[in-house]
Amino acid sequence: MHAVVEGVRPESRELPRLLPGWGAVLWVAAVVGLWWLAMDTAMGEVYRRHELDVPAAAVRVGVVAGVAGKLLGNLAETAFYASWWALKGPRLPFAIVWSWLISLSLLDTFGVVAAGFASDLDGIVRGVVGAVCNGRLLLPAEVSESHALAFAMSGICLLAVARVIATAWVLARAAGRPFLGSLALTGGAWLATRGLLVLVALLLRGPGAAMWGAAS
Amino acid sequence: MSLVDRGRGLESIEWRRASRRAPAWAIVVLLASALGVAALLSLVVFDARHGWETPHWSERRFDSITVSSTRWREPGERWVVAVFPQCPHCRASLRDVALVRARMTRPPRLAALIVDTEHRPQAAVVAEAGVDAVFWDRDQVWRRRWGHRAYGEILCFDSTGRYVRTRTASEIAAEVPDE
Repeated sequence: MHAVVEGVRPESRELPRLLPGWGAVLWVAAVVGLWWLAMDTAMGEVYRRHELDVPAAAVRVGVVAGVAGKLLGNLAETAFYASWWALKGPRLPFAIVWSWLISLSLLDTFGVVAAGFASDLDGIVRGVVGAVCNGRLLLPAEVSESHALAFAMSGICLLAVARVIATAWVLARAAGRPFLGSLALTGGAWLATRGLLVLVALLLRGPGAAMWGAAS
Repeated sequence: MSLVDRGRGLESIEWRRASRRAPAWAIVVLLASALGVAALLSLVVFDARHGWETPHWSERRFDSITVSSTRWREPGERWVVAVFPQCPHCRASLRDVALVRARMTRPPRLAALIVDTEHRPQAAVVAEAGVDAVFWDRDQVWRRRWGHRAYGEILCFDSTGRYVRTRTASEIAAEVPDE
């Protein structure tokens, strides 16, 4: 109680650094490099499947924008959690938490790549990859990739659940607070972002029945 | 007062004290997050209440670029694909729909509607697609009146021009089996 009110949390030291000094910088650079490779592979896979003739420069711009967006997204996620806990008392070690969250994003990256390769598959393999890596693969084939439901389902899978749990653990350790409270926060944030993603998809698509494939 | 109530009271005091001591940046970040969500919700509500027209196919509203097949004038269902010439995905969608249509026993009429294009396009922009007709949405009816935004979408109209629904190439392909 006293420690919380004063904003001093010796427990925060319980969240270990992933790597000391320059090792952490190199590690983050390596993770960003893996994002790059994964996005390049995934985008190439989409273009191949749809036989799209897209200039290489446009693909490069898309990958750069994707990596930059992901980096900003991770910073925003860390800033949100750090702000939330700061409002409750504990001050999170921003750089350490960020390096953990950026590392956990490798789970998403793996999911994107695996789902890209499984898109052409059918049957049980597709189902298993869908359950583990990308819930969109569990939807019927007539639901297109740009469907709002596909947007929503793409983040619902076992890897996403693992990421939510791991993020909750990181925050609980960093804040020196109980795991379940932290899990409620990360789970709530995850659900909220799923909902917001659907809204963004709806806005991008505009009105019309294509969203849910129903007749109007 | 029960122990549980007392605990909640202490938690509330803890929250208030900590909030008072929270750094400005934390409040700014959380406020920005809340504002962002509120702005998005407002956009969605504004868009839903905008009063977009229900699409209706009438050739008078669009400029005819080419009608390459007499079939287009015959009565029957019409599919109109929204095409932005610089979008490879649109052309792929158009090509996929044309391929699916070729497998259908009662194929609909198929047209490309060139959208978001300031200058009158050439028919050649979709020459390879195998469509019955190409139209140009000079007045931006598709975007500004109907409120549609997804390039490559397929607007389905019945023979009277009444809007039936909007679909995607993959949805249609999934319904029409390969030979």
